[in-house]
Amino acid sequence: MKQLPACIAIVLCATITMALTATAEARADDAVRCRVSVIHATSVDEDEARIDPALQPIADYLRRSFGARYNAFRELDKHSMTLAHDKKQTRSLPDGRSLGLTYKGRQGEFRLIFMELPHLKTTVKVRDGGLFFQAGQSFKGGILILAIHAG
Amino acid sequence: MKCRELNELLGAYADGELEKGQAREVEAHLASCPGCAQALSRQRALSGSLREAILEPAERAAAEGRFDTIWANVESAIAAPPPSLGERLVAWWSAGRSARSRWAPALAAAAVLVVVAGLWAARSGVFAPEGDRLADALTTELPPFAAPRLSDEPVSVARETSGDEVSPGLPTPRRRGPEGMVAVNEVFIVDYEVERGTVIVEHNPEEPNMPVVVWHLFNGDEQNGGEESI
Repeated sequence: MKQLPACIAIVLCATITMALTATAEARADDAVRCRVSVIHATSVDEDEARIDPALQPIADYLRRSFGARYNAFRELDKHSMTLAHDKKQTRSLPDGRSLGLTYKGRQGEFRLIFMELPHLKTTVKVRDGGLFFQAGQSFKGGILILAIHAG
Repeated sequence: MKCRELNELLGAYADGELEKGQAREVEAHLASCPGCAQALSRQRALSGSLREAILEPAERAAAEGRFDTIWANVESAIAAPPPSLGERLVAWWSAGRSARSRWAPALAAAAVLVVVAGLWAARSGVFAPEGDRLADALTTELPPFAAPRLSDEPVSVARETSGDEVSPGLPTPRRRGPEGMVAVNEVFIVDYEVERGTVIVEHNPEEPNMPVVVWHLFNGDEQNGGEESI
């Protein structure tokens, strides 16, 4: 009987551990970090062609995805945000538009991200660390590219 | 003779193990050096204690013919297997149970709680500021897309759409990013809704390591795009 309090204490602590761990995991699932790089792509003379050093990690992707038409890429702005579940965050873009991103929760191993731009709404399912581009809006002789990196 | 040399001989001198010539040199030095004489006193006291504690009982046992008993005990100890961890724990627990019974639950609870609190704090970021300010603070110090994520998953078959065709759920390959670059993980366009213009989900299956591009175009040409051109 004297050992009973110790057993109860250990069981209680184990229960608390599991509960807190589950809570922490649920909390981690309730948000996703998102980084958006706003890029201005233009077509310039060969000797002026360059890629902003800030874009170096994705330079190859830019070159290969957009290089047929554009040879200069400059990062105009970047945004980092933690998207809480169902809470939309908006960021202003250099062309006056507004980008809205909402985390819609998990679907298996994926994160659902709802992206809103004027006249366009889309839901993207992406794994942690996934990267995709949104492009097409003309801006100052070129286009704007949004590089959206989730996780 | 110098003090350092004497120090090396002091133990042997105290035990009477030096030759006569060396012993005389030591004695001559001790007569003129109070420090070494004091060291000798300490050495003798230590030797006396050791003798009293160890040697004399052994000598008495030998004198009384008890070595047989001692050796029998040693043999039996060698022959017996050492107690297992469980047996030792049980013995330890039984030996001090009454003394520990009051504190053991509290100590166990405290230890587990400390671990739990540490885990919880680390995982939930309870000590950090919240919201975008945190994310901004963390990421402004980092270059964008700094952490490459490489996937070892096999590349799946990709499909391509063009023009106005957009397939909801269009799969793109799970890809391995080049070293030092951001890997492009699997991305699906679940659905879309376009009020104006054209949406093209671009992916070139010949470039499986490239990210998806969600184009939103007006008049089908991004160069001439923009709402004003509609």
